Amino acid sequence: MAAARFLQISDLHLGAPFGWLAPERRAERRREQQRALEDAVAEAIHRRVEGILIAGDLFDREGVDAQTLAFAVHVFEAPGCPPVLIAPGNHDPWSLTSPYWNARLLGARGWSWPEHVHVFTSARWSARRLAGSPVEVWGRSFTTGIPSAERPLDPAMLGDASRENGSALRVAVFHGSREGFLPPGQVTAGPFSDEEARRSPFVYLAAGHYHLRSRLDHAGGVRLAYAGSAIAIASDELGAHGALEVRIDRDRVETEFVELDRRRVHELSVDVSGAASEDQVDRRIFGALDGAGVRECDLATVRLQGRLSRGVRWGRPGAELAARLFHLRVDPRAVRPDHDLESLRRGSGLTTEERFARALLERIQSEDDPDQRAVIESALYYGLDALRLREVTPGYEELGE
Amino acid sequence: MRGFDRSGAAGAGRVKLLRLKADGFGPLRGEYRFAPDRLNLVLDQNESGKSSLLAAIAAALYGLDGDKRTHRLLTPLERWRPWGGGPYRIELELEAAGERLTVTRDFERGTVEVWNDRGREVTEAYRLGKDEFAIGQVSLGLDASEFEKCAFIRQGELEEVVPGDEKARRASTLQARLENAADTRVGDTNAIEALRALEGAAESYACPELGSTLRVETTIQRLETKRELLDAEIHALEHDLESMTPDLEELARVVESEQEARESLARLEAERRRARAAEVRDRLERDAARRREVERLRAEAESLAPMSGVPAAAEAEFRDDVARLDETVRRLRPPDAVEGSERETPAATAGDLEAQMRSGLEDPSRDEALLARFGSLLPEQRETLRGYLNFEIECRTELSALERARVESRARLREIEATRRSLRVPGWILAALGFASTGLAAALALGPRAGESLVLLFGGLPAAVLGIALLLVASGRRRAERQAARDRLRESSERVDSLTRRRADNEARLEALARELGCSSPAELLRDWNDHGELLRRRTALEEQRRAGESAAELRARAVHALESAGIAYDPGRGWADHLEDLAARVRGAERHALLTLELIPAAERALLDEAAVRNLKEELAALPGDAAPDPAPAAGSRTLAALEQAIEELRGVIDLLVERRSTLRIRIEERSRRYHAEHAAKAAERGAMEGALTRARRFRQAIELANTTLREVALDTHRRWAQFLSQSGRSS
Repeated sequence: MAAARFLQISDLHLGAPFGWLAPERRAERRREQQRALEDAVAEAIHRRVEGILIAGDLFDREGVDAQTLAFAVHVFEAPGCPPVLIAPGNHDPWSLTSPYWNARLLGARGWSWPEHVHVFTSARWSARRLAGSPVEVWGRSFTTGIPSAERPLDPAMLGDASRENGSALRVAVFHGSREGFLPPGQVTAGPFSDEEARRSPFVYLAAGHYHLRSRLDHAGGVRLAYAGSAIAIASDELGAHGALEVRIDRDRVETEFVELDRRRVHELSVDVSGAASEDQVDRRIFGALDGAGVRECDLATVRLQGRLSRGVRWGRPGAELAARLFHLRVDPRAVRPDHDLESLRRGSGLTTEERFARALLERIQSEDDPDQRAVIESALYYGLDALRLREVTPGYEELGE
Repeated sequence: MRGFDRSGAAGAGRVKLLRLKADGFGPLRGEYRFAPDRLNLVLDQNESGKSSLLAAIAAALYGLDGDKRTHRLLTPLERWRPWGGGPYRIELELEAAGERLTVTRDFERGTVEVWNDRGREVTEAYRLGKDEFAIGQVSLGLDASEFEKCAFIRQGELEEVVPGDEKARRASTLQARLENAADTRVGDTNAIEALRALEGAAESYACPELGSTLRVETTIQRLETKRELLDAEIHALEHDLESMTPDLEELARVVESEQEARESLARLEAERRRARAAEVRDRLERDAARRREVERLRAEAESLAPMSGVPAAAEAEFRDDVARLDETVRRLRPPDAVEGSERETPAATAGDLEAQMRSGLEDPSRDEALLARFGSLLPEQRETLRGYLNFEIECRTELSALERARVESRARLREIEATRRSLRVPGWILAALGFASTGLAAALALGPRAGESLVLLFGGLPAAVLGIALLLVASGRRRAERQAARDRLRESSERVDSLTRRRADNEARLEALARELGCSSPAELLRDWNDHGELLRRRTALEEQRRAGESAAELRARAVHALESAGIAYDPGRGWADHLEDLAARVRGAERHALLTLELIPAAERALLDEAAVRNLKEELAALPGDAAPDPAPAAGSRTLAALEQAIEELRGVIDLLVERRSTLRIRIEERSRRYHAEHAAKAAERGAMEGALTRARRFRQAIELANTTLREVALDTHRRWAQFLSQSGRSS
């Protein structure tokens, strides 16, 4: 029997625009965000945890729409909801002008957080003791105006958290970047090292900011864990998403994943060489999706590669393919037309066509800038299309490496 | 013709046509010679065989395909079978690489022979494949299709030499076909067509984000414009969102102010309830006090009810009656009567008065005689008597006054005359002297003493004049006074005369009357008349006394009645003043009763609250909450209910304004938030799409420009090389 159990959740980004989704999917995905939080509360009640730890980025930005705000302040009013401890992140920092963290401004609009919801409002670590629990929850918040480069686990920052507090178990909830594990496209905010985490006075650190699950282990089990985003916020957040149930004993901490996002994100590659029509390309993608076990409710990024027959242009998935799953993103940057460049390179060089191809191939080889190389390669294919097909159709703007 | 030697050697592949002999080839039969150093132009009528000639040349160089698998309907071999039948054979003489060759093909037998000008058969040198001898391929370096593209303009293709359409002219000219061959391996496209395709693509760039197909430059501009618009719209939305912060702050202040105002209102309303409760209690208490007062008044009225019948004037009348009674009694009281003995008085009856009257008479028989004499006088006789006496009195008075006036008038006249004489005398003197002098002067004037006459004249005339003047003045002096005095004197005298005459008349009438009444003289008559008058006066006085006595009794009775009417029993042992006092008290009581019943009690009852009002007030008091209980220690200076009502009204007005402001702010905040969140994501996504489209369009333009530039440079260089090659080949042949 664990001394204390919590449900850890973070990076919900309520109110996110989901601009990368098709317009008709965006509202549905936002509803799924809300449903995930409702499910998290229900799980917390069902599992009878001591509290819910929200490690930042509950909201996507400093201003959210009224419906989202109303939902958030009311979702924790479910009967039996345990105490909720929120550590604002870099997307929803605390400030005097925050429309949802400033109780006064929130009250002006007719809302207020329930009494059992506690928001850490300072960049300094502060404690919240839970009634009837041996756990002392320490939290800090991102604050507007405070540099995000501050190191939250630096001993100088820990302050009172480092002082002796008797037998209470200290649990931290905060938003920060684990050095060495920064995901592509993510910004550093509140950096800390594994060493700082190990040396901190906390038996467990509930971290937020990274959208993929990860953990720092030590002899006593889990020292620090990212629950990841409760639902996938971007198309590159592969795998399952949800919350963590954290079971804390004096000498051991374990986590258990609680899936909240019914959709999964996949990434796969499809070779379209020899495909003589858009439909054939779609068919190959279909096959790859089926082969990867992508469900109708899932999201997938498909990277096309290979050489399409000359004159074949593949612009976007057909209606049938688009309806195959919740969201499909296709990356055609690696696809090339089926011009025999090698033959042109090895040819006599007597015709304009051969000489044209050789000239641009030489420029590609000598160009360092990848963008410029892509432009030259596009020019090559357009020229060859013009010479061979007597027609030029846009389609090589997204060539990449 | 010049072919391009694939080995790159200049000059090889140049072929000159010399002669064609057709033993049978389609419509052709005969020999045709060509000028090898000139342009050979074949002109003839339609269907004369011009195209067939060219086909025959090509057939001589490359043969005819008889493969039915390639030509399902009609193979070239079948097509060019001689129309008139006979041999199916042609012979072409040409010069290739400086060597004269004769190519003979018999299509019927399927044979080919090539002889050079040294008489040697060199057919094998032109074998390509098993049974294929492509002399043109070897000599020109072009296969059949390339040869036809470069060298053949068939019938029906003449228009393409210089076609009407510029594009077609470009594409189908011999030069274009040569370029095709130079530009591409297949030879079916040239660089110009490719450039046109590139330019066409740049001219018609389809952009789904704009929903248009425009020049790529225009597309880029429009995408940039649209992106800028979206940037502005996004910026405006973000600015709107940022401006929510001060609105939120103000909203928080308004909410706090409203909360404070409502708390103040609650306090004021509690205070008002207390004040209202106090007011209601006060009203109920005052109403109870009024009711008690009404009861008291009613009790008083009831106690005064027995006096209600006393007339209001009873006291005054009683007082008047008593005063008249006292006066009457005093008149009747003998002089020696003791004051206060009015108790015994008004006992004087008519009989007593008669007796009193008789006792005062001196000669009763004379009185009767007088009464008899003068009792039956006629009115004119009475008038004569009265008139005589009255006239005598008046006459004497007037005569005295008239005599005085006559005396005064005479005196005045004497005075006036004296005054006039004082002036008249000197006037007469002067006038006389003057006239005398003047007369004398006149007399002397005629004599020798004229000078002296002048002196007299000058002295006499003024004197005369002065004297006349004095006389005139004297004549006029006090003329009016004199006349007035003379008139007064005359009038007085006349009046005296008149009075005297009337007097005489009255005496005559009196005398006549005296005789008529049996008097010895007018004097006796007058004396008796006087006595008669005195008798009448005495009898009148007695009558008055008798009437006074009757009046006194009546007054007494009335007074007693008045008392009894007022419920007071007359007590002869008490004085009228005491009775008056009692009566006055009863009258005041009656007045008080009337005042009570007619004014005070109705007024007091009107001031009472009706039952419904009392009930309502009690219900209201019962309904007021506990905090409305009277404050045992009310604060000094606590406000009145009206002041509280006003303060509450003002505060409600403030709250209304705050509520309105709160509502306005909330609507504005929520509207901005709603608009931002409804539009920002979509606009951001749209902007992202625009950015992507812009990137693609720019890259497309870059790529097309690069392809265009590169292709143009390469094609020009390639064509230049071809041109050089052809030029050198032509010169060396």
